[in-house]
Amino acid sequence: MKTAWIRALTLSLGSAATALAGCASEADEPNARVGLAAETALPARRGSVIVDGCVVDTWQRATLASPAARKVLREVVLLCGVPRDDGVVGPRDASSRAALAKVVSDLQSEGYRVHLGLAFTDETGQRYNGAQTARLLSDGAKRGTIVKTARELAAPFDGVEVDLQGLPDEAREDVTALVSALSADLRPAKSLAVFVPPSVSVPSDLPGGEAFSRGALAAQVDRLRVMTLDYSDRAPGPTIDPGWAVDAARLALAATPNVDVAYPLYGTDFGPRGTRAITYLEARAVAALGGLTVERGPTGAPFVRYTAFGAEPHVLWFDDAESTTRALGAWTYDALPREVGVVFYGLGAEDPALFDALAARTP
Amino acid sequence: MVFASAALSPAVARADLDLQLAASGGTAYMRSTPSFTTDELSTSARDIAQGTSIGGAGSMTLLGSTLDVIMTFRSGLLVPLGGLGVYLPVGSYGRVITSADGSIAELRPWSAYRVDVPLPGIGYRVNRRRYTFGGSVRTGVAWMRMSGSIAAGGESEAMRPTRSGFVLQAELEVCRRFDPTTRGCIQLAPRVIDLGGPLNGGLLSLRVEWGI
Repeated sequence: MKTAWIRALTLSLGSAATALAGCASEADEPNARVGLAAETALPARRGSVIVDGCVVDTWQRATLASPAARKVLREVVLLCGVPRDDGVVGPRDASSRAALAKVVSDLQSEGYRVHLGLAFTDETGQRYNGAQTARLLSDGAKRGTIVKTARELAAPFDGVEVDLQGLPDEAREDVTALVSALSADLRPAKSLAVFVPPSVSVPSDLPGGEAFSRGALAAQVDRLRVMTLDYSDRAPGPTIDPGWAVDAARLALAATPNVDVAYPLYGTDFGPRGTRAITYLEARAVAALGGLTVERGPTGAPFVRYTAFGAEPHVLWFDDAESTTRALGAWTYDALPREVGVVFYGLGAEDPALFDALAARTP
Repeated sequence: MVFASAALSPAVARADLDLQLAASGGTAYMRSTPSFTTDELSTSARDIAQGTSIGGAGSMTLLGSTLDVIMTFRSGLLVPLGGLGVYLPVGSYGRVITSADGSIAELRPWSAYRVDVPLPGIGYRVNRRRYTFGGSVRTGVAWMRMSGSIAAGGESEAMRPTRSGFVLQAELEVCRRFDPTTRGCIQLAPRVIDLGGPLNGGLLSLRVEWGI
């Protein structure tokens, strides 16, 4: 009798364990109590933002005036100066310079340090012509003109930042020479930074990546801004992969601790005719108008598939407050040292909730 | 299977045996799961080094069973020798979004399993009529695995991170003797040191002990 009872107890124990074990299931929503979905504090980092142009529109100005943005951001870079073919850095008109000085003054009164970005684009102000820029930089006299006129244009600014893109590897010495000349002319009265491509290996894995000698440049500038943007430049995908950005920052950190990683505020529309930069609101509007579902990729970046005019298939990848806080949360001090800053690229294209979300989680 | 084989084995009834086989089934609670480490992993975005840490997955309830061998002395001294336990999660769990060396990673707690290897400990047991009250301190090692993935741009790469570590637990039990060598027990075992940190939950289980 007892033996039977014991066997029954044992068997029921085993059966219950077998039946119940392995019955775990997936909940509909991610766990919001742990990990990056939890509303925990983000690693504190020096924040900057890049405005793509000389004008700070009313939307951007309102954003920068908000307490949230002022808590998160310290510097505003106006990507505004454009060297012409003769080396003179524009805008040249007195009225343009006066308007620019007013913008700088207004932003400084909000508590920001304001830097002049020198974008080596062609006259369109949009297209980086690497071959043309390389020719310009190879001429010592024109480099001197760039330095002289940049100094004049930068008078109301707190610093200067150099944005060179699409250069051939052979431009390496000329890039270093330009940055050295700017450094000698501007520092220490003004700070100097240079945008460097997001190479992750030596020699560089990127076309033109060898045009930048990080070691030589680091000695001449206050910060290296690693342009960890446009990760998916052909096939549809997110504008940044946070892990890839860590690797790119580490390569720069081998040269100097004064490094920033870039985080995109804009998105990209991938279509059969190429790519196009888009804003958060544009992406959301496409989704809302088409009644489309906004999905999230593995990094957390949202994307929308839609069919455009002529039945063209498109995919919009962009970032929002959730994907951005997720990425910044992933950049723990183990992955990126405390000294590494974040430079947000493309003010005005962001999720309107972004800076509130960042400020709420910034210690 | 452990329970079935134990239950169907011939009951060897002999009083005051020195060696006992125990089978238990019950619930384990982990207040926090540990951070895991991954094998070397190559994604389209980057290479992840072996041993890269991946954040924990929060609290978890598991169910499973343990087979154990215990040596007892007539003085009441109790020496658990060793055993093996396997535990699987129960309940509903959300994906855990976490990071691995700056990359976005995901853990799936519902896919976890935990293997415990209880090692020797020491304790004391007293008999009061048909009831036995005992307590012991027990060492052990545990190993846990969970499936997940790591993001690489628009793709993700599967991974199976693991974690192993030392376990120290106190075991308290109340048993009723069914015959001279067989007991049924309720056991409570708070884990003093566990994979997820100190005082990280414990076990509540029903247990049957046989003399061998």
